[in-house]
Amino acid sequence: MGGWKLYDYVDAGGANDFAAWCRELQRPDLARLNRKLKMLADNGPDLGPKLVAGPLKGYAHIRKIIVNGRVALRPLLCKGPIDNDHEFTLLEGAFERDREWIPANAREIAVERRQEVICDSNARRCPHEVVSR
Amino acid sequence: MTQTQEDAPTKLSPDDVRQQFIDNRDDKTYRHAYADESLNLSIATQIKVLREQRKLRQKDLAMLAAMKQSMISRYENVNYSSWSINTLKKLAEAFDVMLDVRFRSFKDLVTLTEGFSRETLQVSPFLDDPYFSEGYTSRQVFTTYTYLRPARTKTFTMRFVFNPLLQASHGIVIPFSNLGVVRSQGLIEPEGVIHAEDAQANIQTYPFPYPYFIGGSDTGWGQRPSAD
Repeated sequence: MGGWKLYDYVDAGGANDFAAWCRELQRPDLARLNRKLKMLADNGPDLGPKLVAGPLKGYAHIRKIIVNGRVALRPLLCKGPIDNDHEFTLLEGAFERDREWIPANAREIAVERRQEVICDSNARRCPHEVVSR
Repeated sequence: MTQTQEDAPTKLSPDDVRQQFIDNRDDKTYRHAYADESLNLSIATQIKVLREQRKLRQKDLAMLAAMKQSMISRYENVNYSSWSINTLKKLAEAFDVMLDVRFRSFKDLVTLTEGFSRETLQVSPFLDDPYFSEGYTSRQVFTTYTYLRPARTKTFTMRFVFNPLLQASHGIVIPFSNLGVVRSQGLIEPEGVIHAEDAQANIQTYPFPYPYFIGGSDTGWGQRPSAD
């Protein structure tokens, strides 16, 4: 299987919110996240079992990547949304603690952002930025 | 259509992972966490790849490794991290491959990460490895499993489960001709029921290292005799 293209959501001001979230992570957590994102980019969602979980119940197109480091990272993403067979878009950086989402409305934010990307994919997303330090 | 830079997959330069380790050279927690995550990803993915390569279901692999199917499901999860050497040894034996555990450099991790794919994870079982086939002459000997009927019983029903590894790689025809009544003939089904009225029946199988019968009703089955 060829590689998949990963994109990051970009807000109305042109800022890469996902990259900013990554920069706030502790390095070991960032390393674990980067390894899983590389796996997703190189091999797609099907080779690594349960690499991408979801769609989340009640949020039809929103999926999560489980990263169990010092904290429970739960980046939210969606397939496509332009080319569902070759792309993922990272929509929102989130955490889970005691089965609660942080931020609490992370999934709702992800749904909104997906719609924004659909409406203007050129302006509202950019190729995934690998943050490593 | 020509693929533009924008359309290209997110495959960074071959130095991507190396550069990440260089960027975090002063903090070894980054590379060790990366290695730990790689290990979990690699083991879980390879278990699934090897199982699929052998056309096994999770419950088939569970039977071969003497584990519960739920445990196989748990291991086939890139988010699982509580591996034990003993578990991996059991799976290695079930797949008929060797387990290799050793300390390596981070340079090797870069190489392994960049080359990670289904193809690089696949490993042939010993019997399918041409390296060990040359010069081997199959012994035309049958192994016999004798069903010992319960006392005063004229009919019996046996549940059988064939080793799916054998089915997948050899497509053997069942030599059931010496059973009184046989319901299942022809190519091996992965599992089923034999109904027989002749308590003298025995079943002959070719002497493959994997037994034909790896589960099912065990009452009355004799011990597998030695191959000679």
